[in-house]
Parts: sequence; structure tokens; C-alpha cells
Amino acid sequence: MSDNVDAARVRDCLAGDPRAFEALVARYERPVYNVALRMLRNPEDARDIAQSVFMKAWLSLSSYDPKYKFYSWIYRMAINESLNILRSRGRDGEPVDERIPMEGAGPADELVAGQTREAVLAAVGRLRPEHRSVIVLRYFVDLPYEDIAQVLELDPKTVKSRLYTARQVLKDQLTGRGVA
Amino acid sequence: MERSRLEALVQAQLDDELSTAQRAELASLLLRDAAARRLHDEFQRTDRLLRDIPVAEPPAGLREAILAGSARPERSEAVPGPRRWEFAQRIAATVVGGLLIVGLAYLVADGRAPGTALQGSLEAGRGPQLPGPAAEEARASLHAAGIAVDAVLHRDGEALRLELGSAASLPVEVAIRIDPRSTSFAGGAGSASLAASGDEIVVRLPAGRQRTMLDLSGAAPLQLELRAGGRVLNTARFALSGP
Repeated sequence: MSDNVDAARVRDCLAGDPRAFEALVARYERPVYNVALRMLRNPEDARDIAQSVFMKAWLSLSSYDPKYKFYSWIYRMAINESLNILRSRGRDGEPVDERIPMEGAGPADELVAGQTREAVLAAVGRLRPEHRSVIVLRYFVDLPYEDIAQVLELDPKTVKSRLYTARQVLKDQLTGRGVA
Repeated sequence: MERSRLEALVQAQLDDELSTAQRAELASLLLRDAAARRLHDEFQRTDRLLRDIPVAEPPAGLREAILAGSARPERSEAVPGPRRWEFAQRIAATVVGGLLIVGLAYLVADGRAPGTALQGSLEAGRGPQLPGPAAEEARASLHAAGIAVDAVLHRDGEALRLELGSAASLPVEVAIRIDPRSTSFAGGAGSASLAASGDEIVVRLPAGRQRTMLDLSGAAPLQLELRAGGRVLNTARFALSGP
């Protein structure tokens, strides 16, 4: 259903309806930003990537093949842009301290929870990019294997294998640091 | 019991992909093996910690920035701008003119003819004719996501000078459509490559911040089209009154 809605919006956009692209941005602004943020751990980079991804998407809308999901197409751009930045900066990029506000917790709980989340995000940030990509798409954008495979242009079995390895590495890191 | 078999079962459980038989197998393993229970709990906690990471809200203004100036084709009519640049132009033209005279005098005295490089700098540095009472100026902005092109058109009699300043994260083109019966292209200078044919002058601006000037002769109106990736992103029209 949502795939059809996206495909219709792309068609409308190509036909010159200005609201169609706004609707696509409204729908995917947050997940695209989150993909970039969790890949790079830098809000400024994530903002830049979100802008760049939507610009490139708009410029190449006519080349979008509606037999694929629109979000697979746009997430692939976000992942690729993030990987380009990681490559240009060395293995891990420059992760910055990213504080996550909490609701409904006291100051002490908030501190502990914030530290735990920071430790989890830091562990994700230490993963190799190919493992980080599958964790980000699985946990932070909530994609099934098949969609992750489409985004990353991989076989679903390879996705499964990478997710398997990534979880093992994360488990070892987090238990080793007393987090999990 | 093989650890790899246990891990495969636990991972399948995390993805909700266990068959009934596998579920029973895992339950049996966990019942009789404390190490298996510990490993299972560690994977479960790791999975929960990942799921507990909240979705981050995009920064305020991101959507507006994405749609800045609108990423859709839209017409914008150029309006006559303020005259505040005229004074600066007079100063710049005077200073540049003075420097060129000194430079030429130096080269002539040195026994060398002005070369191509000097001609290039003459072209680039030539200021517009001092505007007379009929001089006019108009401005237009062409925007799309991640692209901004500002255009200023000066008219002094039949002399038209179009200044293009761009800031873009990818190469863009600005096509200037003219009426060849009334307007002709005299030349240009700056960081862009130019291609003129008939009723269209195409200015190819590299990514980054660029500035380019085009000299024309004749009369407005001029139609500007911002293009990238083979698509028209935005248009503007200069409609100065004739000389």
C-alpha cells in the first residue's frame, strides 16, 4: 500500500505536482536522517546527508524504477553517502558525543540510561561499515532482511550472515564493558 | 552441544524466525545448560538495548532546508533591485580602470605587447559603463535543494551585464534565453564555461562557489533557466524596461 502511495507521489512529482515531493520529504526525512546519524554519529553530517540525499533523489526521480520500493532507493543513497564520508575520513569517521534526551526518568536513572545508550551507540559506531549498515537498517529503520538486501544490493543470506556477525560483535563489546 | 548451533537458534529467535521444532530445541537447551542460558540472555539484552535506542528527531528546519526555495520548478519574476550597488560599481570600475591603465603603461614601457593573459584580465576586470540616468538593475534568485544562483542584471543603454553567483553542491547550468533579433552575446568572464548558440547561452557552473559575468548588447527580457541533471529546476525572467 505505502509502496503504491510512494510510486504515485513520484509520478505526481514528475508530472509537476510540487506537493508530491514535499510529501515524500515529510515521510522520509526522519528515517533518512536517522540512517545517516546512526551510521556517522554526527548530527551535522546527518543533516548534510539528508539534504544531499533528497536533492539527488529529486534530480534523478525520472530514473527511479517503481518496481523497487522508494524507501529502498532513498535509504541506499543515505547509506552510500554515509559510507563515502566514512571512507573519506578513515575507518570510523569522527563520532561526536550525541546526547539523547529522556522522558519520565529521574536524574540518576536518566544518567545511567543515557550512559548505556551512549555505550550502545559507541559500540555500533565501532562496527565495520558493512556490519554497521545492516544493524542501522535492521534496528533503527526497522527493515526486514529482504528490504535490507534490496537497499544494500546484497543477497538476503549475506545480510543474515552480516547481521549475525554484527550482533555477536556487539554482544561481546557490550558484555565486555558490563553494559549487556 | 555446539555453541554455533545455539547461537544460530538464538539469532533466529531474535528475528522471530524459529520453527516450532527449533523453538522446542532451544527451550530444551536452555533448560539443561547454564552457559547456554547466559549466552541467550546476553543476546537478548543486546537486542533490547538496540531496540531501546529512540528515533532521533531531525533538527528544526531540515525539511525547510531540503525544500529551500522549493526543489520544484517554479517561476519567479525578477524585480528591479535597489540601487545600492551602483555606487560600489562606480568605485570598482574606477579602481580597476586605473589599475589597468597603469599596467598597460608599464607593459608598453617595458617593450612588450599585452598578451592573452592580460587581455583575459582586462575582460574579467572591465567594469560596466558608468550608469547614466537610464541605468537599471534587477535581481533574481534561482534556488533548488542545495543549489542557489543569484543573478543581477545591469543595463546601461544597450549594454547589459549579467552577473551570476552560484553556490551548489553539484555542477549546474544556467541557460539564458535571449531574443537574437534584439539581443546579442558579447562575451563572458569568470569560472564557468560558456556555450552560445542562437537564442541560448548556456553557462556551466562547477560545484562550489562561483562567479561569472556575461556581457550582452540589446534589450531585455532575458529568460533564465536553472538546470541540473538534465532537468529544469527553476526559472526567472528579467524584464527591464528598454533603453
